[in-house]
Amino acid sequence: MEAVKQPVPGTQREPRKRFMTPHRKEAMIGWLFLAPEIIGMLFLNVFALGFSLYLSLSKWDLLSGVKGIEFIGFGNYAKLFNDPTIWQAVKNNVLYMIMTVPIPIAIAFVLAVLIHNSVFFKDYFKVAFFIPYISSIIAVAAVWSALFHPSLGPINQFLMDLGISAPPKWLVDPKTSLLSIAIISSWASLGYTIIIYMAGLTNISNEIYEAAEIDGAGPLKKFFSITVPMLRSTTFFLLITMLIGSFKVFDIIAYLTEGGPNNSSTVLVYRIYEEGFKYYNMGYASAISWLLFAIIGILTAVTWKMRNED
Amino acid sequence: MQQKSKKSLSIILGTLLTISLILSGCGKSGNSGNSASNGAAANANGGNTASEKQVTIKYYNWDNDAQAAGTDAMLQEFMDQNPNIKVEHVVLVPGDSVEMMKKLDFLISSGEAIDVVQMPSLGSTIERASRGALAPLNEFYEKEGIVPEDEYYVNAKVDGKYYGMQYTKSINYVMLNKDALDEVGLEVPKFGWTWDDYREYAKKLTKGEGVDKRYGTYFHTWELYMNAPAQTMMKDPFVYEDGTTILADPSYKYFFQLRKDMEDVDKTAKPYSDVLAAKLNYRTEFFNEEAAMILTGNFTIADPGNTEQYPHNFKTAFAPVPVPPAGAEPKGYEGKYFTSGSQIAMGATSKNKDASFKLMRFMTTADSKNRQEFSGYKKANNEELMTKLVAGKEEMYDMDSLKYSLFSDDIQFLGAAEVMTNATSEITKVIDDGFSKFMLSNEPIDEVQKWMVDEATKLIDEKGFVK
Repeated sequence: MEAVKQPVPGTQREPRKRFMTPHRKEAMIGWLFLAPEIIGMLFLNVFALGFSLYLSLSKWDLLSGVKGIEFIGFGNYAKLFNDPTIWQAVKNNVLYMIMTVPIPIAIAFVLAVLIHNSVFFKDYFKVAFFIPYISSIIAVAAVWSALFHPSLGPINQFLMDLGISAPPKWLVDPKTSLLSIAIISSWASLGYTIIIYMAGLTNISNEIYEAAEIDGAGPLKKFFSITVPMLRSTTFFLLITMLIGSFKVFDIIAYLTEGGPNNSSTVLVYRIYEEGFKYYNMGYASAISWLLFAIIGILTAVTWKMRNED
Repeated sequence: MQQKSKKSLSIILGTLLTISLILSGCGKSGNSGNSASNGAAANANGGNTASEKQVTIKYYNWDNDAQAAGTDAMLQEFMDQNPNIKVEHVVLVPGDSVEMMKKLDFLISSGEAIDVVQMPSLGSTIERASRGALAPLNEFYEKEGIVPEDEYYVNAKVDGKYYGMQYTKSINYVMLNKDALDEVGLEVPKFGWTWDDYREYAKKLTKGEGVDKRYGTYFHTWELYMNAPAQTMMKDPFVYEDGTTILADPSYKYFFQLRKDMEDVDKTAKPYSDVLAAKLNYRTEFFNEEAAMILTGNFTIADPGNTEQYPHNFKTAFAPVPVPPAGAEPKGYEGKYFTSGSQIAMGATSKNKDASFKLMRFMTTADSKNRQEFSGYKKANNEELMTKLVAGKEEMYDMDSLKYSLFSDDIQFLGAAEVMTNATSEITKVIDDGFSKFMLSNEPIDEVQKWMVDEATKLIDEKGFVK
């Protein structure tokens, strides 16, 4: 909702109302216009935040209503630290982050430079890489789950034709389920990363490259000494958004594996969903949310600090 | 003067705008969860005040379109018999009982007056009853001199109080491809055939290789197929009567191993990993002749005759669920089958309890031509219903074996479980995970079972029992 700009009649003053100076009046009206926004935020954000903090210290099954909330102190947090599936989820989150953040960023960087420098079919490649990003992730996942089918899928058929007798079972194999999901989601988001990098590349002035060429720099030297440093802020932007994104992954896991088999692909957000809306342990689910909040907070702080030190 | 009024007008307008924005802002935040309930409450009130005698009650369930037609027809019959009760049919989530329960829980916790609701299972009824969301039925039963045990196969009971009336009745059976049986000269099995016999049948019924292969049987992803004996021949698939977990049961070891052998050694069942990966539909597996036998239940009676949706041209035979062989029987084995079904319950907040009770009795006991599923009422004529369901399509069925599997005297049913745990959804996951450990990670059965028992015991200790 956008505040309507209204001309405030303040030039003429009523002698009786001393209290309402034009300035105050303006401020008043300003506050009135802001009120819905602020009240809404207090209600929807601050209240929800405080409520979830309170819930994380209580036991609640949702169904018994507000009167069913039972305060239990730090029991949920104690349980959190002794729950192996939580640590499995944290470990999976970290692995997933490694697989879906630095590696795809590096690949996208190289591809963006290649597409940017290639003269032919520039637009074709841009579109080709961007299409997965604009498709629904569920549709993408459905197609990939057919490709990954353990005995009839094209990927394993190909591997078997190459002579590998027992190829991985991908999504249903506890060893490869997380990797498979990382492959799918990296593939789907590659187009976005490439487009952002290409935007960054067009901002680098050609003169710098020309100057370097005159000084005798080869293509590799130009890449590492000009392109990489000039795209530093783009890389930082991608890093921080993808880092947070990778910790919030949910839809693709819920659709493809439901955290399984045997928790091999479960992540914190999926555990929150499971505890909260499958088992109705609202308190415990809130405690996991706060753990996730702390982890994302620390990560963001660290990356910010790294950037500021540059 | 002109100036002044213009100015105050603009102030008034500004204030009005602000107030309306505040109101709409608040309305939005407060409404998101229970806009449905506001409307519903208004409706209910309207019904009450319109006339003294006329009451309006609501009936909640999760019908899909086809089912809703049948339900509406039954509700209409009820309204014709009781002109001063108006029943409104509320489909919370069409065709999805799990989502429907979530929505219902939100309605209950927001204070909505729930009159009559169909619950998908005994467990879900008891769960809500023990949280105080449902109304006990004892005084109504006493008033009419009804003994619930004489009326229904399964009564939802908590602390000696009755909370639900059994609406539908589930019976498990095995569907077999009759043409495939004839090909290899096998008889349609009778009660008493064991899971070892089932394995032999599957071996003989497997045919072909590669994409055209017809497997002997198909096991779906549900827990039913991870330990069929526990799920079909025990009162409760989670705890024994003494409150300890049944995951320690010998039937687990037997059935897990059977699944693995049929998949790895005999190659007579589609591998679990394939089933998991492809999100297969168990009905089409059978009707497309991918598998010659499938364990399922009486909710599929109409399917063999439904050649439009499931095109096939073989005859379907039926057999009772195999029993566990000697040595693998579950503890307390009686040779009787588990039966359950959906329940009809009354919300604790209902304002029209007498009318609601009347409707509940009608829905569970009425001899209606619009009934679509087997009734949980002991005096109901389910055989008539079966005849109606297959009418006109008899040539697709082996009628003798169908009747035998459903109504023969060999088929006896267990009573309701007396001990139930609150940790059912968590333990379900433990069973799933244990099965994955065994089938996909190849961990030894004894370690897997020990892990399952430890986990389940921890969960039962934490969440306790339904009292």
